[in-house]
Amino acid sequence: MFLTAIAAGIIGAIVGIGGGLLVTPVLTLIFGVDIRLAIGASVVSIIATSSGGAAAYVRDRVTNIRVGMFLEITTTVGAITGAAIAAYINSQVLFALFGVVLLLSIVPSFRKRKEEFPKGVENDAWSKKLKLSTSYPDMRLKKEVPYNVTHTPAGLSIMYAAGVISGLLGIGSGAFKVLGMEGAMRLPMKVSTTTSNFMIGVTAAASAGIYFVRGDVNPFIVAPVVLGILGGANIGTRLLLKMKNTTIRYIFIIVLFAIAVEMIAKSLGVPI
Amino acid sequence: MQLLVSHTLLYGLLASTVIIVIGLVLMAVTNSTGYACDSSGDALNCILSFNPLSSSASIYPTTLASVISGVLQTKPFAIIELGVIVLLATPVLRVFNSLILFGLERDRSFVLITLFVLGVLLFSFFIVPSIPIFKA
Repeated sequence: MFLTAIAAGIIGAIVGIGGGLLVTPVLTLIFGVDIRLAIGASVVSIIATSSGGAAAYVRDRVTNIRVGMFLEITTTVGAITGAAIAAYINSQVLFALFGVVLLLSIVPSFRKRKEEFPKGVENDAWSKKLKLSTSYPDMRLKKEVPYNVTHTPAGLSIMYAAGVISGLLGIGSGAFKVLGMEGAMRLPMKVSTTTSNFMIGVTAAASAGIYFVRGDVNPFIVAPVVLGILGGANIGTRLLLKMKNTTIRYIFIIVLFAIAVEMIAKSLGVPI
Repeated sequence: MQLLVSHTLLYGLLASTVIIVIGLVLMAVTNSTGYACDSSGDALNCILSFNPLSSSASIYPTTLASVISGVLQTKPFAIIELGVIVLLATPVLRVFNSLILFGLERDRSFVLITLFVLGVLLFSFFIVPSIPIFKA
């Protein structure tokens, strides 16, 4: 359990995903844990991945807190909405939907796979008003890279959807966040994944209180998962700072694909 | 600015880790969880298959009050849960931190934005859990 958690932490920190989608199936299938407890552990692990990774990124100024906080307006509201309607929606339909959307999203990401930095991006009105555009220090290239932010309304809507899915399924929906920031708002890959990492913690926290009170957080399961993830996220962040944006994108595409397959399998009732 | 945020995070994480480890060690040493289901032998099954829906919160606490009282009685599971709660608080602290920093920068729009997010978070922790619709 410990080792899987470490792996989840590393991948999660690099790709900006909570690792919840890795943790839940492993817990239920390999360790035979009750699904509710697995989801509870997953929510906690998302926060661990987020906080574990974020400390380094924020310090090194790769995360764009302004963009993240701004987008959290709709994400958190979405999370509570999601948790509210959770009891009324058939989760199988959700999983299928989620999986299909993810698969479709791989296409634009794949087409851009050789793109190290987004080009020709102009700030839009919101971005200018809130001064979202800035630069980040790229450790691999050892220089400061400026970037602009666009399509903010689209970003906000995508984040709301991501929030709803988060609250509904008990996951971080980091994949959606990265897609929203990188695809719609055209932030560089590293900035997108690190900012997503920052955001998933906040979003998961919005639904965590509910899970805790429902008794879905079992200390025996959660303890090793949390410790493993914190360790893994630590390693992951060090790795990310030294990687190319394109490498991260490749890993992201692979992980997206795996998650999509898992989602669809789940909706069909096939355990993966 | 970013430095302060990451430092608070770090301390929060360290505190959480230390507390959880203390709880784990205590559990191993005393060979009990402080609640039903002893952590030895077949107790593993008991703990892993505990279904929150069918039984009451007898194997670990689920409210802040019961966690605190459990910690005061040095029950290992309560201590671990305290560590988890500290972990859950780290994103909230982070948002709170950003609020202060935006305030110092006199960035009114972002102070408002952050206040809103903080409000939603606190709402979800304290008010929402007591609304019946959420207790599946």
